[in-house]
Amino acid sequence: MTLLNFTLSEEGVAVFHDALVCLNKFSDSLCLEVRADRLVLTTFNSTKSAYARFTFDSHRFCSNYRFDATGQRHGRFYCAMLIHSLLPIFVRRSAPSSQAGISSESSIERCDVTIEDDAGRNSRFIARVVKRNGISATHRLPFENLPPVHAKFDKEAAVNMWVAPARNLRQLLDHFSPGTELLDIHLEDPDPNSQQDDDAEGVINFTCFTEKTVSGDQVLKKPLHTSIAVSSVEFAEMSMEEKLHITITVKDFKSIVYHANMINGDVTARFSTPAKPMQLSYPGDGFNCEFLLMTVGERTGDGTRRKKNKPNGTNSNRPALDTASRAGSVARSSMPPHPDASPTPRASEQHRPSSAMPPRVGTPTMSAAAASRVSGSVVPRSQAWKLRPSNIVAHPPRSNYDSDSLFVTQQEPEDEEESRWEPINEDDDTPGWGGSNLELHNNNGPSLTMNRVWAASNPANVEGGYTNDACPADPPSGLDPTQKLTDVKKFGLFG
Amino acid sequence: MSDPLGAEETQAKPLFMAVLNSTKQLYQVLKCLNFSTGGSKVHIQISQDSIRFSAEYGRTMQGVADLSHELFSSYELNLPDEDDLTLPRFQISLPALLETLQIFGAAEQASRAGKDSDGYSNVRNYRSNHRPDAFSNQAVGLGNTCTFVYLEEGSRLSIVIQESNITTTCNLATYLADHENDIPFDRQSINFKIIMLSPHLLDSLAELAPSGPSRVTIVISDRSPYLSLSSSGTSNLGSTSVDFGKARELLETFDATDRWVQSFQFDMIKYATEAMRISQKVSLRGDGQGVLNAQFLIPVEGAQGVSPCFLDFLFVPSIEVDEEETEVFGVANGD
Repeated sequence: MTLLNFTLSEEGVAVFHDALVCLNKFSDSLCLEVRADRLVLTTFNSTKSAYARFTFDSHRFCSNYRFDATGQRHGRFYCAMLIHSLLPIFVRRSAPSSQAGISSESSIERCDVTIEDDAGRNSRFIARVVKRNGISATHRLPFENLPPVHAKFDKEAAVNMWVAPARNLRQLLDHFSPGTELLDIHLEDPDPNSQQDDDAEGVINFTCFTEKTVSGDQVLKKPLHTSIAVSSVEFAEMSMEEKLHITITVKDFKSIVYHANMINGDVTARFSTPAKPMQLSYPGDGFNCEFLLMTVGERTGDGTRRKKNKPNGTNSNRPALDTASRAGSVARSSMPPHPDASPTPRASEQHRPSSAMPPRVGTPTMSAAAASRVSGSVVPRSQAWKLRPSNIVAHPPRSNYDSDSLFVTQQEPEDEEESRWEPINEDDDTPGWGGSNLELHNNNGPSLTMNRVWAASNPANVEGGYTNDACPADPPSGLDPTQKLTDVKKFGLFG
Repeated sequence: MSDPLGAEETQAKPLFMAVLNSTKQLYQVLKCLNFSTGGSKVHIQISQDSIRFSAEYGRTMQGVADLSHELFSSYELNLPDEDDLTLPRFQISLPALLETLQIFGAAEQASRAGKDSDGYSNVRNYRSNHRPDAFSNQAVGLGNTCTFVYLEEGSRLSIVIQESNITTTCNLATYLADHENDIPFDRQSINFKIIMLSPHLLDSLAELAPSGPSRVTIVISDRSPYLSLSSSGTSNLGSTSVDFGKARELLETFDATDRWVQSFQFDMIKYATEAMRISQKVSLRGDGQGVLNAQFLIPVEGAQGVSPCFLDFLFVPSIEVDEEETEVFGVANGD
């Protein structure tokens, strides 16, 4: 039974190919979702820290679009496919031939795509590429019926944003030193003395950096920082909190900017606070691209907001944070990440991605608990640490994070009262991005992730015992039991 | 290394001697045969008109290049006995031969590169990059020659490369020829004949290649699609088929008596892609036993102008039992 029919033009094939190349930088496989009005390609990276979505307007982008939704749940059809099996199909074929006269003939006239699905049999994604010279190639690809997994993004909460032409961002990439892994974006006041002058144009700093990596005596990676200051003039629109450090991975940012530059779009970035996702989006002709990247970072400013062309948009009357408490909690270090890293005096070089810790009000038991959990935890976690800025590592997050994830949750000072130790329930009104990785919209709720992490780490902690003096006897209060007592009994600890 | 042109030349004429002014063409053609197994040797048979290079791959594929004497500026075969018409035949290591042919022209390139390393390289580069070098050996008419000498039956094949004042002599060991076991191609019962531009064939194989097929099935039919190539026995990456729907534009000659379906190892066909790349046209023929013959026409610039050179490939098909097995396998997978 033919479910779907549509035809792509030569240009459409090229656009589709660019999208696939971009998706392939995130993951090996993609999920194709077919609806009456749109085709959606989505993918998650393996650590679930980045999510990419290309939405193609079925009537503007494709011709002869026919989707037979009968028998489909909610009027949509979805399947998962390997990207590298799709890539050679939708590749441009304009100049593969050696002889010039033939190359124009062998370009694509059209590409007919059909999806056939007969109750699990004969399920094929069929792409028929018809060339101008009369040769047609029919590719039949198998697919898997997998429901798509989407990441959620709370647009309301994302108060910070900037819009920049992709080519400006593309120029930035040239200055990124090779091998850098993380990118810190923050708004800095060009002149600290002119804080009252709201008209002063801010400078957005793009700092790409690598943390020092040490294995035994060997230094595997040297720390490296490159800071690029971009005047807000370069941005079409901008509304950001000052000194809010948002850190994403360079690799993801590059993949996005390369593609955005190809279609010459204006990239819009929206974000709220570190540890909440950042949305990067740009429109194309007949399609839309959206990326969600998990962030880490620091909030060191006093919440001063700066808007381009809106001088009165600041709320500088917010109380400044207590500097004394900040000084006590400063931990800057280029040492390999370790929770016991001793606090070092604060330096204020501009090229440091983030120079101070947020004024944590966390109780000593809290941070000690977190610290001990790290030192007594399983190995993969420490790998996750190494990718993070050291000053964050010095104070490990106290809440839920997935050991597989690159990113970990950070609690904001404002969120102190939240029951941070509680597993997030789906019906909870906790913001969707409470998890360390991108929250899965579909069936894998964040609560599952949380429980799994705890289930994995608890027995280890109990068995191995705490060597740390500051270790708490009990899990932090407020945490729901994630294991039944009967499950733990087999460890012989409860008689 | 001994000089093969030394004392012995005065004693007797060598069995075979040929001179080339440029090895580029020969190198290009022989590179297409560089797929042999078993020590990567090629058979060389020298006749009065041509040198025949033949390479084989696991006795299921054979590639033959017949290089006409017109390619050479001098070509001389002195059979010792006028009555005995046994042609010299021997084996040689093809990679070694290709390596040797690459030496030709290397000296001039090196000296040009050396010249440019002085302070005025920018000026010179401009000149040498944008205009032909008026003082290159070729332009001046200094004989850059590559001489092949086969002194007698069983001797080494000597290749003497003379470029300006540099002479390189390479002696390649020759091996006894195997029995002649060419793949039989029945010219009496030819089922189809197609002549087409080779880039079309190359393009269609490029479509098949990404899915990593183990076998390619060729279907010739007297109605559209006239020629169809499809990959089978593939991994989980799906299957692909390429159809030549518009015969008139694509196929110069199409002559088929019957439907012809045969499948071949994809790797085998892939070895012929180098020939497809450099050739202009290809003639495909299939006989009643299923053997596929692909003849590539390569325009070669020789001593007497451009002459066509033909590269002949013969492919033995996979037997049909395997094909059925593949189908059964496909059905089991819900194909």
